[in-house]
Amino acid sequence: MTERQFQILEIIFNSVEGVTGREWSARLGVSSRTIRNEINRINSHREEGLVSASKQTGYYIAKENLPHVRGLLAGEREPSPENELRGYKILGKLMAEDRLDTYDLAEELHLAQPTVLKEIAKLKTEVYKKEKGICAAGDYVWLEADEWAIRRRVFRIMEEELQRNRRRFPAVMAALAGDEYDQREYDILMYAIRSYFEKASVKVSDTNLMLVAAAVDFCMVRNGMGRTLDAGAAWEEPVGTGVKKLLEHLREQELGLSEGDFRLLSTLFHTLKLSAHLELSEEVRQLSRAILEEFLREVLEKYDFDLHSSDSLYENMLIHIEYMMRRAETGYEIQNPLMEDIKKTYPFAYEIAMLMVPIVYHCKHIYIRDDEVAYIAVFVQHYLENINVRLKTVVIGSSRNSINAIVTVWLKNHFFNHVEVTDVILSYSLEDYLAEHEVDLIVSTGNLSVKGEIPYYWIESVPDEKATEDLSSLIRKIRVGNRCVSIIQKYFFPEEIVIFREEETFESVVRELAARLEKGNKIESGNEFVEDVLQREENYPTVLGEQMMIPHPLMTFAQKTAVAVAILKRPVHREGKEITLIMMPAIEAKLNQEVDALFQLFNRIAADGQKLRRLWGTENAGEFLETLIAVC
Amino acid sequence: MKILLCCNAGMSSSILVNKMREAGAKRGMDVEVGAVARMELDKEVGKWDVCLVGPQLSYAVEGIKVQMGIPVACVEPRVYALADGDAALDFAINLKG
Repeated sequence: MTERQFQILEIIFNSVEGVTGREWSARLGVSSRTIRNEINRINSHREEGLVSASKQTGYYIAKENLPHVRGLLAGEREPSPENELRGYKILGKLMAEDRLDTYDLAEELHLAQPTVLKEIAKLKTEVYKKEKGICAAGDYVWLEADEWAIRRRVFRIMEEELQRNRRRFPAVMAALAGDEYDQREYDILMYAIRSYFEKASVKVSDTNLMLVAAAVDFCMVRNGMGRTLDAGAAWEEPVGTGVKKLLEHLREQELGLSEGDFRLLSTLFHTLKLSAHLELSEEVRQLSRAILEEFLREVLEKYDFDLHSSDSLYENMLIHIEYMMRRAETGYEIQNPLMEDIKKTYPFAYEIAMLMVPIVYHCKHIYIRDDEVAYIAVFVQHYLENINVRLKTVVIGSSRNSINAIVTVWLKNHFFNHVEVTDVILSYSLEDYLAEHEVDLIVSTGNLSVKGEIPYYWIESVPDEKATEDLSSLIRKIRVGNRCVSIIQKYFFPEEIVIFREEETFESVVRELAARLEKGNKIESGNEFVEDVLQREENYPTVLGEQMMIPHPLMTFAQKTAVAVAILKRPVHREGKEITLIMMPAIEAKLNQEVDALFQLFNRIAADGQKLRRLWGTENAGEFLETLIAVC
Repeated sequence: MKILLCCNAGMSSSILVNKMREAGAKRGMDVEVGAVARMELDKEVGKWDVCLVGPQLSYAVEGIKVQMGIPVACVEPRVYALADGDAALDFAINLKG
């Protein structure tokens, strides 16, 4: 039964005296004829009928039927599929005809004409998202779209429906394809495509499988109706091998699909994971990596968040962006049912995610949709909640509680994502506190006489804009320092830091360092590496400043990025300089901002004689690493 | 024509830059050639026609394309290793198209 039939039944059930035809128009706003039809349908659900009628009292429920009706009304009402799908049914009719009279349409679908108009309005906003397509004038309604646009729209509906509710998908298909629809044909197609994927040992999700079958089926239905695609512009075969093979397979099946059909389907398939491997097209992958790197760089620069710090987050974002780019390029962008919630609940993450929009526009001239931005925001939020390490901050308060409250609230409002206030203490207990707790930052309301290694900020009065700015830059400095520390820990290894006390040649030093890198599985062949490094020094020497060198090869890439170090107690002579420190990076062939940071680190050391001397003076690998962290 | 060279530390390209300038002068062309480290690229957006990168950065070509919005390509290793200014200049001209 439909929701309205339930409503009608409920009204009759609740009225003591019966309901006459005229009362209906007041209560439900429908004609007495509609009610008569509806009640006929209600009664058709049960052989002995449910609702009785009398000339005097109107409709009523006879005593013997009361228990059954009570049961019906108390039971859980399943939303009627008929009601939910009538929008799609109307769209199905519109796609089949050039122009429709809304009254005829109402008659055919057993609906009131205003309901039809309401459904059409809903189609316009919910399915067509206010884009043009459905037109109405007077009593007539029609689609203003060519066959390409019609089919693309249907594919998008299918995608959304599969995301939303897979069970009713066959019904949706039937509604859209109209009278031409043959469930058996779809089942056979589905079976054939599934066995194709099995044979090719490609793992495809059920949703994608259904979508592929449904899309092919819909093309066949439309062709059967004589609604074929024009030849369209010349097109290139898809790059991805997965798509290519599937199309080849479909061609062999002789399903009566035209070149236009294949072209249309290939753009849809391109957005789906249809291959045994992830590397469908190296081009998209590289582009995605470039976009992600640029995004991470901007986030780091503008917000001081290093999303790079989690490898799994990086990999997941990369895969997401790859398919986002495919969707954006082909126009099959997915809906994000949670978009509004994400915007409201995680406004900050959403703001950060927005940085993606200009980046994608810059390289592809496409604006990605808000739905996609919201997906990126989820990744960012995950970082903020689970990966981002906030600075443990202790507030040195005053005896006046109001001031302490102002300061902690100020910290919370302005620095929530960077700073975590662990305690508010008084200055005399600071020393004891530091002995027991790990502290990254001290914020004090009074001038502190004891200054240790921990960064410290003094708020001289009520925090104003300038204080916010100053503390921001201090936090930034701490975070850059921390980032530097994590990079050193990631790319420098004690076994690859060598102290040379005897006279050496440049070549012997490079050979020893390369051997260490090879032993640590950072590079494949030490010899090859050395040859490339020495060759490169011939043409482009890497002397940095007065005493440092950073030899690295031009064409040999590492298996794992690392920096080998030579401390030369007896300087090596090179290019007229006396070299005391050599840092030799081996670099992987993939985009990584941290490599840039490494080169920045080299430059900072080379430019500062004091730092260089301190590093040179260390006596073992452990001491060297400690000193490196201290000076950076 | 404005050509930018880019490598990891900004040091290796300087020799090639000079060779390319010489090659340009010999042909009587109006070329401007500059070299920069990858981390400095940001400041160069919008100032150049094409960007050539050293072989040690071949993996970063796509990234630099996104960043710079101009044609970007990796210099052939042999050309780079020999600092062949003529060949590099031809390469840049072809790249600009």
